[in-house]
This record gives sequence, C-alpha cells and structure tokens, in this order.
Amino acid sequence: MVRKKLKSNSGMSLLMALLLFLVCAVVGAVVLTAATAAAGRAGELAEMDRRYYSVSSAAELLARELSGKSVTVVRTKTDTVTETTTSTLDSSGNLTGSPTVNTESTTGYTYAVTVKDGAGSAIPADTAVRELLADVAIKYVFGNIDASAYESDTGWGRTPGDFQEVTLPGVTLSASNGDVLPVTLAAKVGRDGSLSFTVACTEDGDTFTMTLTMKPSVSDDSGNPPVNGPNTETTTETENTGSGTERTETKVTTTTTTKTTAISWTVGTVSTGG
Amino acid sequence: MAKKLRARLRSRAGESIGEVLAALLISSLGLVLLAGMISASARMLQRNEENMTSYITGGNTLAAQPSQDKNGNVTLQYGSASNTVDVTYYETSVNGKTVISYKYKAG
Repeated sequence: MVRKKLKSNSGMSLLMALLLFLVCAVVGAVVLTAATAAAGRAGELAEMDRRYYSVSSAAELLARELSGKSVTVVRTKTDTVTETTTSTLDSSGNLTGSPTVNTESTTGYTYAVTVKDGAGSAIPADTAVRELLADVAIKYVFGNIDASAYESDTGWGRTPGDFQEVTLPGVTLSASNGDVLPVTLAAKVGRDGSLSFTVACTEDGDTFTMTLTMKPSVSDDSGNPPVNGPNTETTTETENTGSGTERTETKVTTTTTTKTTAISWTVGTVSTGG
Repeated sequence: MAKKLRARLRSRAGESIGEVLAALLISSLGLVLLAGMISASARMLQRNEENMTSYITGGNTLAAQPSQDKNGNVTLQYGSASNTVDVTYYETSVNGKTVISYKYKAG
C-alpha cells in the first residue's frame, strides 16, 4: 500500500485524511462518553454514602441492642387429681355404710417468658427489645400454631424449631435527626432460632440493603422435661346432718412437669444485599 | 525504496486547490473538535478530583467521629412497644450533601 501510495499522483490522500479524521472523531467521542458516565457515577458517591451510613448505623445499633440478651420460655403442665371420700357417721361417731369415693383428673397448661440482659437483669415489659425477643423465642418454641393453642396440649407437644421461617411484622427504627435517611426493617426467625434483619434504605430510586443475622445459642430440655411432684394436699371437712354427721375428705395430688427452652443471640453475619 | 522516496519528494505533482481547501477545512474542524475534547476532559478531571477529595475527606471525617457532633436518639419500635436509645450523630458534607452516621452515645 505504501509503495502504491508513493507511486500515486491522485487525490487519494484527501480521502485518507477524511477517513482518519472520522475514525479519530468516533474514538474520541466514545472515550469522552465513557468518561462522562464514569464521572456521573463518581458524583453519586455522596448519595451512596448517605444510604450506606444510614443502613450500617441502624444495623450496628440493632446488633448492639439485641446481642447478649437471653430469653427463657418455660412451659408448665400441671396434672391435678382430686379424690373426694364422703363418709357418714352416726351420733356415736361410728361409720355407717361404705364411704363413696369420687375421683376427678384435670390437666392445665401454662407458659412463661423471661427476657434478661447480659448482666442477668430482667428487661422491663413493653420495651421493644423485650417484646421482640420474647416473640422470637415464642415463635421458635411454638412455631406457627395459633396463639390460643400455646396453653394447651398442642402447645405442650411442640418441638422447638419445628416450623417454617416466620416473619415478624411491625419493626421500625426512626432517628430524631431528620437528616438521617429513613430505613425499613424486615425481621425473620429461622428454624434454628436465628434472628435476621434486612435493613434497607431507598433514595432517588436506588436502594442499599444490609442483612444482619443474629446467631442463636439454644438450650432445650423438651425431650426430657423435669418433673416436680407429686405434691399431695389433704383437707377434711365435717358437716352435721339431720341423721348424723357427714365427713368429706378431699385429697388433691398435683404433679408439675416443665419444659425449659433458653435462647440467646450474638452477632453472626453482616452482609450487603437482600 | 530510498530512491523512490527521494523522487516522490522532488516530484512537482500536487493536489488541486479545491482538494487543499477541503483538506484545510477538515483539518480545522478536527482541531476545533480536539480542542473541545481536551477542554471537556480537563473539566471532567477537575470535577472528578473535587468529588473524590470531598468523598475521601467526608469518609475520614465520619471515621474520626469529631467531638463537636450532635447528641440525639433513635427509637426502635415493635408493635406498640418501643425503646429509645441515646446516640451521637456524626455529620459531614460530601459533594454538598449531608452524610450522617450515628453510634451509641459513649458513657
């Protein structure tokens, strides 16, 4: 080509110059467009920072508020056997006829939740930390059954962790400083008792999300619950009737069985993304 | 090859005046475009440098947690129950926008 060019006397050089100019202009335009886009992204760093610091501050606060707290759920089953023996005595105090014996058995179920801080002090009721952790532990112990069944044979028979992932609605975090971007929280309880929060912040259509997972430590004696009792209490009542005296002896035997599940959380993982 | 090159250089054959004028026009257009691109890229470089400086300075300010920043609180709400936590807000400005982080109030 160079040889041909050297031999050429035609105005081809003008066309070549035009072509070269065109190529350079296109390459220059592409490079400048890419640079402009990169500069635009760099200009969004402030917005990204605002979202990041809002989310990370919220996640750190949550982790600190919830870490080290422990919840104990005690399920109690009380079996009560009431034996009533009624005897009739004559005026001399001798037994007349054979006594009648009536036996009744009842079973009651209750549960109690205690939430303590890292120092072992009980956290007062009606605080968000207490209510939230109590609900997490209750969900872990009772699973997805209806709350009305917690104090029943169904609730007593539940094995902790026997449920699908549960979402706890209604958790919010708000800052007194109006310049802090608002965050949204979604709390979930895992089958292993883990508690995870998805913290998200949206501004100008862009969202930054961070997931905080609180790792559980569980001790549970559901498989071999401790038994208390039987405790027996006997009361005797005597009542005078027209023909003599009626004596009623009531013997109440109570056997209490408890299942205790204790759970506490520490910060597990913090990851970006939903 | 050297002979041919010398011959080419000595050659009196040239382009027409029209071609030369067109070439001059294209060259001047090219020069104007080049000047515009250089100026635009210089502005872009300067703006980027300012953005990055502001970003890094802002990040450093937040990391240093200056003592003059404000105290306030953050409320954690769950249903009707709530916890109010005292925090310290750390503010800085990045590219003219306020960036805030907060942490547990020390002490």
